Amino acid sequence: MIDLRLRLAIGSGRLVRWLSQVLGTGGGTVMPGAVTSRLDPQAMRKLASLASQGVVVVTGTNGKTTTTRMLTAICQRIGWQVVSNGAGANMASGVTTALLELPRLAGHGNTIAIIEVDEAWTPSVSAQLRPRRLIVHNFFRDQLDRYGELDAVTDRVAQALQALPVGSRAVLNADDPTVANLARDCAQSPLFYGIEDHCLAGETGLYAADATDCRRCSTAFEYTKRYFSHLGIYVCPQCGEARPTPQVFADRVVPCQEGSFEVHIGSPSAELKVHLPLPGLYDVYNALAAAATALSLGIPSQVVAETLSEFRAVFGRGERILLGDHELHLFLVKNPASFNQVIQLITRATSAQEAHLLILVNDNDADGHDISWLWDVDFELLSDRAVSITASGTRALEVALRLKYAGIDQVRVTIIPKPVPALEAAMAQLPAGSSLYILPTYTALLTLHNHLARSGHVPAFWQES
Amino acid sequence: MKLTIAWLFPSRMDIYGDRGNVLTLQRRAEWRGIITELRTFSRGDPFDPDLLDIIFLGGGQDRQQRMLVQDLIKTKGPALRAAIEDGLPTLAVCGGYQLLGEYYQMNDGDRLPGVDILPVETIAEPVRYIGNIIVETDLFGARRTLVGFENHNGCTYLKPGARPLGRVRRRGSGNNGRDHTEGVIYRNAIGTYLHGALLPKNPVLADFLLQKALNRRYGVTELAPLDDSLETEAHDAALRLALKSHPKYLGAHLIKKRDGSPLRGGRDTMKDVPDV
Repeated sequence: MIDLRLRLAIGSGRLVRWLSQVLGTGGGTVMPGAVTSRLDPQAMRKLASLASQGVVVVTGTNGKTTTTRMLTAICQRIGWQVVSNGAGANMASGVTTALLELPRLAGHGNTIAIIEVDEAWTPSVSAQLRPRRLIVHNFFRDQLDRYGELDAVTDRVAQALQALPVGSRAVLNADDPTVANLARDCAQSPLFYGIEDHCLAGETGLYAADATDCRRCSTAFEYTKRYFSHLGIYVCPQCGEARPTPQVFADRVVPCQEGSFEVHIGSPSAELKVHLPLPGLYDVYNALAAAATALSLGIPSQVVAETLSEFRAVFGRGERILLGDHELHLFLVKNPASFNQVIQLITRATSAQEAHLLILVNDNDADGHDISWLWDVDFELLSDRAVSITASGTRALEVALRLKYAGIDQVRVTIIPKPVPALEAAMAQLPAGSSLYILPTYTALLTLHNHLARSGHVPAFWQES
Repeated sequence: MKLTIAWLFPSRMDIYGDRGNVLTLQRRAEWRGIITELRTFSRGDPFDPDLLDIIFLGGGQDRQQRMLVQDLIKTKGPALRAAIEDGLPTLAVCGGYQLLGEYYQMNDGDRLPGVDILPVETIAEPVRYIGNIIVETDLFGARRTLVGFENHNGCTYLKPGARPLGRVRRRGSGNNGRDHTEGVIYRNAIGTYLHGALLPKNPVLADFLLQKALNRRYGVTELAPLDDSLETEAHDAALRLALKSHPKYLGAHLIKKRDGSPLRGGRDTMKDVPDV
């Protein structure tokens, strides 16, 4: 029910959103929710209860935004009305902002809220949203300056799972040992998803993953298959704790030309053939999480497969932009796991002495102030690929230094701290018809995207559907 | 000439880009025509310091430290102590620093015994020191600044007579946020809270370890100079950013909130820490 207080709070929130868009101060993805919650602290809970199909929460370190967008597209395809914080504003105010759309939609058929939530915010936000499904996607080390330690983040998500209401179900990545271990915090048996393709090439990176110890007995897991970082098929040689068998699984994952995958997904009720037009193996995980959740909500497998096969990359997550006769590939990088995946992808897509890169590392609040993780990224793999690398961002010099110690010839590296001039300089170096791989941290991505939006090459991020 | 660099527990004590420290030692030796061999040691591996020239030990989470400390004391401790007493160059960062001290008293009151080589003791506190840090030191000839990032809730105290690596200047908390000391140097062993990674943009420290190692093994007293213009630029840029960063700590005290309210990133200033 919408009481008077909530009505007032919603009205004010919408006014703020309207103002911020009219005044051009940005997307207004956070402030409206902050105002609404200020006027009615229960607003998030009350709003969430208006969704007839309930709420799905997506949390984890990497892939939240893409998974959320995939699930959104699937639900929209069967005609559900979806509210979502698909622009990535995933703390409490951003979530409330997204929910402001619900009262307008309620009463017009099926409505569902699909909400990505920052890991640390998951317990408090989930307590308000009382989600029908809670997806825990993966845990990588990320922004330790904000969270302290990875274990602390895991414990917070465990709290959220323990507090799930009756009838709610966790959807967990079986291939991430830390996530799978959360099953013991779930009252109802969770739904697992994972990759079961023994022919798929594993990771060749040098980076030592950090979540490879059994939580029960602290022994190092033995992997029979490691897809990337610490994601794979594992067993504890000491206590026998093993990867749970996923109910929804990809048993055939074939990388194709032009950065896409043929994926065969199995589940107790259906089989799906998906041609996933996205370049990263992590996208296969994103698709699996979305598919597992959608199937569990009773959405027909045909709809799931069709939507995933037509999915377009999300803003900055493997997005391709045509600029003259050049193609720009934008990949958000925020931790060693995501960065290494993108480097693997570039080494697959290019031949020796062919890759042009623009790497932008900022250390602003939203990026994390600690950039030591750059030293865990396998830049060494680029040494025979990269013909030019432009280092940019507030930490441009740290990037250049990292490249020097990775054995990359300094004459190939240009340092330009300001993102837009760096983009222009990187473009100027490109031979005709070649691609530029752009690897920005979060705030650098926003800067570049705003620049490209102003010049009409991409839509503004809050206008993307 | 050849140097053997030992990295202890690389898979478990490597959360802050510690690979950068090892890489810097290797590259800076190789650029001078010195062959390097990297040897890694895990839990249970036997350990003969006579074959090693530099030891590195990185940072880990509390859980990993608990797991490894017994191995460190029993399997490697006695030999490691003898070697460090004999002048084996050693760098221990964050968790590794704490483990080489006398003990680490954790948040739950458990006292984890350390290897008791470095003359320090550590007590966990409910706040977490997180942020850029600047340290000034006279240990390497002229006065030098070291710049890095710290992230720890252990407060480390030097025992009487122990020498700090340096003193905190303008940004950061160092050993304990109270006495302005940062790190410790004992013989040729250095313990510190600075990561970032530490050695790449503080090459003076990397060269100190290399020079001591070459001197110990081959009697070499001088290191060939390298072109450090990029390192110097990166150091200076990091220094400028540190000075521009929020003067105290970002989100620090919120990490340990126990009332179930969310952790938050944000401009929260930690109280009770002297502005140095």
